Amino acid sequence: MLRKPSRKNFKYKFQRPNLIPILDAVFIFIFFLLFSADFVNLFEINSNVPIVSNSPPPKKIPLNLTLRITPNTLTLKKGLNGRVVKSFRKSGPNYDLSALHQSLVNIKKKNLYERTIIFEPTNSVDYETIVKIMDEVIILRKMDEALYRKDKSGLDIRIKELFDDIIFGNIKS
Amino acid sequence: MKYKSIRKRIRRKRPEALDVDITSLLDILVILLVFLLKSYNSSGVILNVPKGIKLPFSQTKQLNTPGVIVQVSDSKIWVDDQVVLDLTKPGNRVIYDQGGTRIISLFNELRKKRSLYKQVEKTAKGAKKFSGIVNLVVDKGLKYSYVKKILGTCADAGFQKYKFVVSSTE
Repeated sequence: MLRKPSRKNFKYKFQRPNLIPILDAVFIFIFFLLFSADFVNLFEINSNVPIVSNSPPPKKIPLNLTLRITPNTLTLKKGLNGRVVKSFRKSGPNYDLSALHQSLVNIKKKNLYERTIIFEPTNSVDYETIVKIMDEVIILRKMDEALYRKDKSGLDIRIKELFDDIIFGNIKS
Repeated sequence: MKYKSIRKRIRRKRPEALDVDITSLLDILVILLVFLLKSYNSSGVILNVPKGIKLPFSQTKQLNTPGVIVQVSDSKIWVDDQVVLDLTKPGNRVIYDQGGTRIISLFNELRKKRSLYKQVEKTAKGAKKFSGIVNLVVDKGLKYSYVKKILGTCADAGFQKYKFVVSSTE
């Protein structure tokens, strides 16, 4: 009668699994994911709602810097009477944003503590254009002239932004 | 002299330990780590950009702030990812009041959100005060004529701080 073969005669060989092709595939897959990934980060631009105040007007005449945006022209105004400082006509398909930026730097030089600008776009201006203009109005670049203002303790602080308080003045018109 | 039994004399072979080469696995993990670090956003605000909205590009580097999220495409308006106006459905149209400056459905939803925040502020201890911040995720192709109605509606609903969400590549 045959009996069950003894287990002692069997030698268990532990075969090392070959992971290299699998890992190669995973590696390629990760590269594919990395290349298809959009490294887009989301940031924000601040703006405040215009406030109608009943308080008496300030003694110091406000700068009241206003930027009127039409499909063809950017008009920079200041003062309570809205005196035109400069107009920038479109050169080709785009606005002359560098000229606008330079004008704003010059205004900021004379009004170091001023942060507010009023935007008045017309209805046909698209949102993307407004954002581009907002960038030029807010960001003070490293290539721009360095501007300093005094803090409470009298120390000079470098100004990092031009006019970062943007108010849309015609949202109810 | 002690004799071992035959069974005990047989030397038992221990199974060999499995030696796995993890070098390439670690390579992958390092790449994943770099990828995760690069896409990490320290603001803690999760913003969903729905299909149909293309954000404008900006150079600003200001991090997002928590607040109510209003997403606007040319045919839909969402508030915190909930559709409040869908113009793709037949028969739907934008209904304005206040002389055409206020979108009613958006205004009602924002008022609800505001009262909810106010209620939480009153009832929960240590709850943050209502900030009045509205994160605006607006499609870049929209005209100002429509955007200003969104802004006006938000202002009427009691939201005084607009945060225009923009995209920026690094």
